[in-house]
Amino acid sequence: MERRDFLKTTAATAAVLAAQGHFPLLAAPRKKRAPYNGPPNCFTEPSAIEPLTGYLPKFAPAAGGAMRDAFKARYSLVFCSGSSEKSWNGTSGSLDVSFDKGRCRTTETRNGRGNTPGNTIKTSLQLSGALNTVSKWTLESSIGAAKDLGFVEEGTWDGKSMTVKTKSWSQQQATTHPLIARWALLPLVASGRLKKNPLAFDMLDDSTLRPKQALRYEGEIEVPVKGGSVTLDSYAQSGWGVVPTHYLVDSKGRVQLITMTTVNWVLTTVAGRDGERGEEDNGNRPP
Amino acid sequence: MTRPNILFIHVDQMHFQAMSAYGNPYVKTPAMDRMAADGCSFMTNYTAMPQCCPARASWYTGRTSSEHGVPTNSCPILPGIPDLGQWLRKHGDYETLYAGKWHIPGRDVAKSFKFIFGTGKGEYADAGIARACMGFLANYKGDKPFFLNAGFHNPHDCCYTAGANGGQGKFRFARGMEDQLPPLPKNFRKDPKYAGRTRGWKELDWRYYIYVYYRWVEMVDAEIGRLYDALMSSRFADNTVVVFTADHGDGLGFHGKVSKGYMEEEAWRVPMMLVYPGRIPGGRRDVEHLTTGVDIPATICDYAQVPALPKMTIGRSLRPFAEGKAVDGWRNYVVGESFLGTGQVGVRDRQHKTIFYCDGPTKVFDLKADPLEMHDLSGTAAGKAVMAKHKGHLREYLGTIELCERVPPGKAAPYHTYLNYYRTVRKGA
Repeated sequence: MERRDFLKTTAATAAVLAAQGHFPLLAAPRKKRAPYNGPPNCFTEPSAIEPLTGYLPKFAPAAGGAMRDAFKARYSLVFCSGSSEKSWNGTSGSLDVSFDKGRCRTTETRNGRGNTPGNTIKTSLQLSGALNTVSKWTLESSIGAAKDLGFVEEGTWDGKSMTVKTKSWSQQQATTHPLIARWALLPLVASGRLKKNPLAFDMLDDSTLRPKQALRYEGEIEVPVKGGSVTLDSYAQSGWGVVPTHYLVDSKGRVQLITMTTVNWVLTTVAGRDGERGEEDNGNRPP
Repeated sequence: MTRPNILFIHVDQMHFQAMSAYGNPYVKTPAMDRMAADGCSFMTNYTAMPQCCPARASWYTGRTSSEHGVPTNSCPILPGIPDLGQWLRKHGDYETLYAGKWHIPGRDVAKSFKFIFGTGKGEYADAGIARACMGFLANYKGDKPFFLNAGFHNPHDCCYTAGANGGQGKFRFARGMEDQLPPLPKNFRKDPKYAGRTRGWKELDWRYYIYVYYRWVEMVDAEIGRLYDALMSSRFADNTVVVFTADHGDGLGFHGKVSKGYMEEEAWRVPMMLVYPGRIPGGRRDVEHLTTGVDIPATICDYAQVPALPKMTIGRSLRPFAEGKAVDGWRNYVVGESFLGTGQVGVRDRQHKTIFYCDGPTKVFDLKADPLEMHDLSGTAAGKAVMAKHKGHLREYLGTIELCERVPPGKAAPYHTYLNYYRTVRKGA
């Protein structure tokens, strides 16, 4: 074979292999996603779901009752550790939240590293008014079964300042807006009431005050999920000490997805007041 | 004399100006501001090496990044070097505890400390890290003094911004909030040849990155505030030294960069504070003394009343400055190293900085006249004089430290570049 023919044949073979991804050293360049130039809220509105693009193909929206007043819901914590063409996702914790008659209870678990114990936070909040502002709460933190690392806090909000007390310390911070716990936002966004009226509030995140928050409706978006797509209402939160956070709500009043950046939540089960129960395991729970 | 408790709070990748106490209008950090008001800030403080593992290994061993065997991330620390956990247990009978990010390869944190909680990422773990430490403070009834370490992750989550590579992602959120986004730094200069993750970013992307970065700073500030307030309203308040710093900074758009690993101020310079109620006067700002990451273990050993860690060639205690006492013969320059890429060494005195690139050009800046490092003086007569003086400092530094000549696994080529460069400098070239 002539040298020229050899090179030509070799190059052509290499190109075919590279295009198929079988020849790593000469692999074709990875297909870059085109820059997003479309109008807001077109298919896969990226700012809301980008931290979950790697997870969504296996996500099936949870069925079950609405999350407007009395309900029980379970979320799986899906972390995002970066992205290339899609986000890199895994599951590493859970949230159980229940609402009934002005009371909200949550149990949130974040796994520890390797075999080390995780952190579990249980809260019980007494809510009042149309905005579910918090008037009293208790927070119980535990690290695995270690008795010497747990504590219980009791908090109150009098409309002007919040006070947190334990047997060892007391903290007080001024507030300037209605104080709403993070998870007490769920029925507010699920109700659709915020579509016309953006919400200005101070947020109670566990027992941490995150003042000067804004939550606004951003329109409908179509989200690709397992087996197709679903249209969700998107609400966006921004403010002190939070990365832009999206709450994505379906037409039945269920908050299916909550995205931040490295921490995100996906609804796995929900049961509402109407007795409609979600499936016990819709495939979203971690193995 | 009773040994004090020590709470060492560190954050990851925090720009030295990302604090409202220091005049930054784009971020609000009430907890760090309280610490600054309660204690002493060291305003010209530099990390030993602006990358996670080397900087952390320097905090805990007192050795520079070319001494402890961790010149870059993933390199295992030299065996046998004692760390602060072991040292304070042995010499001060301390209860040593650790929560959060450790990131010193080759050293099991659980063998030097009681490891109470830890996992990755700031949004995910920082609240738990604060709560684990608060839980300890709420329950501790032991007689021993404690050395409690809170290794927070944020604002390091800026390394995982969704959409930064594959699409605009949450960066598109910027479109609706242009009026809230900080401006680009005055020294923002985009390098058209840069091929990293910021390639293709438009101005709005940069400004959104800076905006979200400050939110992560606020997020970790909230957790620091919970922990700090828990301490300060506890029975330990009057007998606990609080040390606060960061392992390295972040580009934050300065010089058109993000991330770390280089010797410009945004990556190399980091915040550092000491608080000790009743001993350290509040609100002090030390702008006189050049300090570095290896001074932290020296300071901790000083307060703990234990001998200094062995072979601490550079680090010295900052306690006298914090307490308003004079010290004779403090260093008049500080050296930092980065073993990333082609490698670089920073030498900074009170006015000038020289950045020596191991296989390339040298840059010289007048930090008093040009704090944003926009005008390289290396081609001027004044710049050449500074360069020669700083080369002498570097030679003195290399004659002081105990250079680790073990070549890190998988990093032979770049490390040999350094070793060769250092040998050349030592010989006086």
